[in-house]
Amino acid sequence: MSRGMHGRLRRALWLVPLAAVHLALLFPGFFAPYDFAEQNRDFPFVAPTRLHCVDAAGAFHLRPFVYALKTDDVSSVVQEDTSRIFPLRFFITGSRYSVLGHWHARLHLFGVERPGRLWLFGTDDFGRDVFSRMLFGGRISVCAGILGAAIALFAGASLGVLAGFYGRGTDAALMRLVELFLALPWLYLLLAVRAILPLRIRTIDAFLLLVAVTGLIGWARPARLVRGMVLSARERGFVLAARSMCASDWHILRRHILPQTYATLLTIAVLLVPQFILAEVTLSFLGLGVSEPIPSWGNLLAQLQSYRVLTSYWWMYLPAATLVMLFLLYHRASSALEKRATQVSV
Amino acid sequence: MVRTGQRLLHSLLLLAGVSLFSFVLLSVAPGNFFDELRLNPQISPQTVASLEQQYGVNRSFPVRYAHWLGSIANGSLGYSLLYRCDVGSLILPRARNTLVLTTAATLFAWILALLWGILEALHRGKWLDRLGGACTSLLLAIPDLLLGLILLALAARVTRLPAFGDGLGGAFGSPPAANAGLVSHLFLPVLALTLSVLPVLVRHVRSAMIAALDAPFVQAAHAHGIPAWRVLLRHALPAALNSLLSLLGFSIGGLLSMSLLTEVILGWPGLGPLVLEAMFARDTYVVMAAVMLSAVFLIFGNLVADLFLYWNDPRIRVVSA
Amino acid sequence: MVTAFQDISLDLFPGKVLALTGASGSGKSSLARCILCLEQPEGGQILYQGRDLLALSRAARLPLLRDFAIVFQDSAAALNPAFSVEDILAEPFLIQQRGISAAERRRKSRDALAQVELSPQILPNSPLELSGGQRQRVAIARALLLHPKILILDEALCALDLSTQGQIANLLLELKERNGLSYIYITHDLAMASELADDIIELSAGRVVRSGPAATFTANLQAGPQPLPARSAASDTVPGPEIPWTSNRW
Repeated sequence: MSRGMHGRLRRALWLVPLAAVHLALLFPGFFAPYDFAEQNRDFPFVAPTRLHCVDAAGAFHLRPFVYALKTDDVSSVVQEDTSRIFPLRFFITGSRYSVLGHWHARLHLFGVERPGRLWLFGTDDFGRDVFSRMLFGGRISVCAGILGAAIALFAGASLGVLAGFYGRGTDAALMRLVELFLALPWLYLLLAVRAILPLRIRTIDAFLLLVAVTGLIGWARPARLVRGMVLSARERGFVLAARSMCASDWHILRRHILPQTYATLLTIAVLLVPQFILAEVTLSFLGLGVSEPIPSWGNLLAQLQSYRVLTSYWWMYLPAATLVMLFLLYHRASSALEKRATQVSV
Repeated sequence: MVRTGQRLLHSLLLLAGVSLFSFVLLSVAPGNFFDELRLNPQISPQTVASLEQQYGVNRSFPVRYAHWLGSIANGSLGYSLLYRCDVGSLILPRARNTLVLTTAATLFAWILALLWGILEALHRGKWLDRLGGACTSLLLAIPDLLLGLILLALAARVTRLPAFGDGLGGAFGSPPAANAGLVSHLFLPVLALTLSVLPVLVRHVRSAMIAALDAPFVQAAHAHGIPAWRVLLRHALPAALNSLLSLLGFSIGGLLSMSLLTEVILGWPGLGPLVLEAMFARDTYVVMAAVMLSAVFLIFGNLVADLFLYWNDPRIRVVSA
Repeated sequence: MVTAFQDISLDLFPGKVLALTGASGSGKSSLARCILCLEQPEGGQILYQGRDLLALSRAARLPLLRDFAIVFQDSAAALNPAFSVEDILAEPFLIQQRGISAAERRRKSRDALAQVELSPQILPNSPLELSGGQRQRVAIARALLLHPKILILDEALCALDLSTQGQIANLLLELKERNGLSYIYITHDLAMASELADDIIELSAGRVVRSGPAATFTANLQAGPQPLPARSAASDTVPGPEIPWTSNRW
C-alpha cells in the first residue's frame, strides 16, 4: 500500500513543474520584469545581463547586482558601467500590466531599479527584453494550444459518442468524414484552412481564428478514439442490464458509458495540447498567425530566420528552449497518465 | 483478394471525396489571385476583369471542378497563374525533389531506428536503454522547425556546407545539377528530417522488439539451447518486424507531406516552399494539385498498412469475414 | 440472417415457474430479450395483459415493462464494476422512481439486501470484491427493488458452483412465495429445471419440441429428447404441436 503511494507521489511530482510553468504563463505581467513592447533602441541584440556578486572594488555583496550598460561613443561597443551597482530586488514596482484582462497592477516578482536593466535572455533588434517577450508570448501560444485542443476534443468526443452510441447510419457517416480529414496531411490542411480566411487581420481576430482553425482540423482522431471506446462500452453487460430496467439513452450515457471514457479523454487531452501549441507556433512562424508587435513563440522563432541572428546571437534561441522544456514536461505527464490508466482500467 | 479489391475501391472513393472537399475549401476562400493586381492603381479595373474572364476565375463551381477533373486526365493538372504554366510541369519536378529528400531520410531513419531500437531492447533497463530513452524524449520534444534552424546554425558556423544565405530558404528553382553538389545540398535537410522522424520509430521498434523477446516461443528457443544471436536473428527479429510493417505503411504515406517545414527552412526546392508561396498568392490549382498528390500518398500508405495488418494477423481476417 | 426462434407461445401463470430449456443456440436468451423489448423480432406479437408490446410506442410500453425484471448469467458483467453496491441498488430508483428521497432509497436497498440474505456491510464494496454467489444475490436484489411481477432468470445459476446454485435456487423459491412472483427460468440444465419449475418448454433450433408439466419431463428423462418432427416441403409450420406465436397469457 505505501509503495503504491510512493510510486504515485513520485509520478505526480512531475505535475509540479508543469503547473508552475502554466502559472507563470498565466500571469506574465507579474513574472516578467518588463513589458513586452518596451523598446530600448540604443541596445539592440544585447547579450543576457550578467549578475555579479563581487564589484569592481573587490567587495562581496550578498545580494547579486547588475551594472547599467553604456555605449562607448567611439567604438559603439556596449559595455558595463561599473560606476554604479543595481542590486536585484524582489516584489519591485515596475511597468503597468493587466491581470487577466481586467485588473491592473505594477508589482513584479523581481527586477532592478532603473536605469539598470535585468535582461535575463538579452534583447532583440528593438532592444526589447526577450525574457519578458518569452513569457507574454508563451501565454498566447499555450492558451491557443489549450483552447484549440479543448475545441477539438469537445467536438471530436461529442461526435464520437453520438456515432458510437447510435451506430449504423450515424456511425458510417462519421467514419467517412473522419477518414476524409485524416487523409489530408495536417499541416497542409492547417495552411489551407488558414489561407481561405483573410490573410491580414487584427491580432485578437488572429488569435481566435487560430484557435478555431486548429480545433476544426484536429477533431478527427479524438472522434475515432472516443467512438471506439463508446462502441465497446455499449456492449457491456451492465448497459444491457440498465436497458432492461427501461433506462433512457441519456441515463445510460451519463452514468455508465461516459465515465468509462474520462481517463482516456484526459490522456488524449495531454497529448493534444503540445500538438496544438506547435500548430500555433508553426502558423505564427510562417506569418499566418499572431503577428508583431504581439509576441508569440512562433514569431519569436521567426526572428531566427535571419542569418545574422541565427549564427551570432545565441540568446535568441532561449524561447525555443523553453518551448522544448514545456513539451518534455507534457510528454512526461502523458506517459504518467497512460501508466495510471492501464493500472486502473476495469 | 476480395478484401484487397474492396479496400482499393474504398481508397479511390476516398480520393474522390478528398478532391471535392479540397476544391470546395479553396473555392470558399474570399478573393482570388487577382486581388493583388486590383490594389495596383496603375492597372485599370477593366483589365483585371478581362484577365479574370480570360482565366475563367469567375465561372461557377461545378464548371471549374469538371474542368479541373478533365485536366487531371490530360496531365496538366490545371494552370498556375503565378508561374504561367501547366501545374503538372511545375509540380512534378518539385515532387520528385521532395521524394528524393524524404525517401533518403525515411530509409536512414528506419535503419537507424532498427539498430537503436534493437540495442535498447537487448539492454532493457540498463544505462544504455535509459540514455537512449532520454535522447529520444529530447528529440521528440524538439519540433521540426527548431531542428532545421539549429542544424542550419551549426552548419553555418562549423563547416563550409551551403548555408543558403539570408532570409527564408534560398535556392528556389532547379535543383543542383552535379551529383557531388546534390549530396552536399542534401546532407542538411536529410539530417534534419531523419532526426525529426527517428524518435517515434525508435520507440515503436523498441516496444515491438521487447514484445517479441518476451514471447513464449523465444523463451522456448532459448530453452532448446539455440545460441542467443540465432534466436535474435531467426526468431525474435522476424516477429518484431512483422508488427512493424504497418508502421512502414504509415511512413510511406507521409513521404510527400512530412518535409514541408524542413524544406522551407533549409531551402530545399521541393513541394513545401511551392505550396506555401501558392497559398499566399491564392494560386488555387497549384495548391489543389499538391494537396491531392499528398493525399494520394497518404491514402496509399494507409492502404498498405491496412493490408499488411490484414495479411499478417489471421484474427482480423476471421473477425471481418 | 439467422432465425432465432419461430412459432412459440408461452403461458405463464401467477406464482408459477416456467422453465425454458434447450441446448445453446436454441433461441432461449433471444426470446427473453424480445420479451423485454431489448431486441426487435421480425414479426409476431408479444401480448401482455391483452396488449401487444411490439405495437406500442416506447412511452406506452414503459408502464407494462415495469412488471418485468431480468437477472443475467454473468453477474460480474451485469454490475458496473466502477460503482459500489449502494450505487447499483440505487439505480433502478434513479431510472424509474425519480421522486423518491435518498433516505427512502437507502431503506429500500437495505430491505432488498436483507431479502437476499446479504448484510448491509457490503454496501460500499465494488462488485469485484464480492464472490460469485454474493454478486448474483445483489443482481437479484436489484431486480426485485421495484416489485416486478415476472422475473426472467437468464441462465442465472449456470455460472455458479454447485453448492451456491442450490443456495440461490432455494432463495429464489422463497422469494417467489414471499413476493408472489412468477419466474421464467431459462437454462440448459434440464435437471435443475425439473427441480425448480412447474412447467417446462423445451426448445430446439428455435422451435418448441416438447412442453408440459415438470413431472412428465422427469419421467421422460430416461427416454431422452424426442426426435425433431420432420418438416413438410409445402409449409414452414411444424406438424405436431401447432402453436401460433401468441403470448404470455395472464
